[in-house]
Amino acid sequence: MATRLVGATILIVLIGAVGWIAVNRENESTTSVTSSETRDGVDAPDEVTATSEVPPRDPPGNLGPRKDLVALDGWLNTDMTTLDELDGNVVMVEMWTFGCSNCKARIPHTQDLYAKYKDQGFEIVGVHAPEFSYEAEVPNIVEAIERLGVTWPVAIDTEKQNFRAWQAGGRRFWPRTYVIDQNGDIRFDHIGEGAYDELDETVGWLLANPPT
Amino acid sequence: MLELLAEGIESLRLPCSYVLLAPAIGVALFARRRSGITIGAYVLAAALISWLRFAGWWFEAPSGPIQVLSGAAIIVVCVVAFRNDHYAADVVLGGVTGTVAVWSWIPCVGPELGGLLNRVGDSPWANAAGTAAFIIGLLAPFVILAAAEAAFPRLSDLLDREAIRMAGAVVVLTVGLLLMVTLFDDVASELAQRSTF
Repeated sequence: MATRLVGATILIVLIGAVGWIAVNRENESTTSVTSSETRDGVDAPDEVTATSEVPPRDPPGNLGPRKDLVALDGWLNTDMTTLDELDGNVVMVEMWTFGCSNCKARIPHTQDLYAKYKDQGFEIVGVHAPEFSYEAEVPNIVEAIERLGVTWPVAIDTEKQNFRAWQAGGRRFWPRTYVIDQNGDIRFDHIGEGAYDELDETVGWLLANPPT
Repeated sequence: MLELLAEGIESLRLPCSYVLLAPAIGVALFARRRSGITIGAYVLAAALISWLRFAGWWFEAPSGPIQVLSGAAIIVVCVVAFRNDHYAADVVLGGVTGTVAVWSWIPCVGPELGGLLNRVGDSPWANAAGTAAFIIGLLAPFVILAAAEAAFPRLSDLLDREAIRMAGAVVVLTVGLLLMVTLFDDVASELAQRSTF
């Protein structure tokens, strides 16, 4: 009897939670469709213009020197061959793979960021570290970056050596975003989706206040 | 907490979750009327190892000989559990399979889990419940099945068939074997490609 009661309680709580989540997510998706439609529209809404101003903020913390990108299988969308060639720029390095939904969800924001700061000494490097074997095939990567609108340089990290080296200690995830300052120090580190405003602020701050 | 549960449920559809879901299917089928305790062991092991991994207190993902041993461990506990129709053997099967599965798993990170992961290094203990909520969400179908069996014994009677136990054993043994011959990633890749590409 007690087992049945516990089972029924868990069942009710979980099904209730799933129902609540489904309703909640439905509302959220309606909102997000509206906002993305607006963003893709011809007339930019006022709030997008407003957020393009970088608000004043504290200097981002220094998380230590970046690592090199090693043992790559090549680069796409660029003639560069090493990360050193971007010294003196603010560089966003993103660990991603094209089959990862959460990585793809970041792309529209990354496109906005690239368009906003590209001509001000900002560059992006996507480190493509495949999870599955079909994601390791270069023609599939080429097709995907074209389909997804990835116009920034992509480093092909088939063996995931850089994916592992940059994310030390067994805490390895897709996506992971770093911002490197003009001196090659990591000033921003974020796991997963989100933190878009903070990322924008960090890049804007570093461009406006290059380290000496 | 509910947001993490929700993101876990949403992650069910992501190919990166297959590594965790495929063994869970085998364990759920294998457990039959002991699904509550066996799936409970799987979920508990998955939540515990996830939390340790997120906090940076767990080992590198298994590869080479460690991966072979992981697969062998699954096969051994599955054979033992099959031959000894006993609670303890099923619990060990759930625990070992959950541990190996979550160890091999690299999650794709949405905003809620990302928020937790960005905090967990600073305050690992405070994020244990959040990690558990995410894992329960990710394994929700199995938790619901276990709870439904506990609440409705007739459902349990319906599932209590040797053929179902056998099917579960085949799935678990296949996972173990694929890990042993280091083909598990390739099969997961094939599944992912068929579902998304």
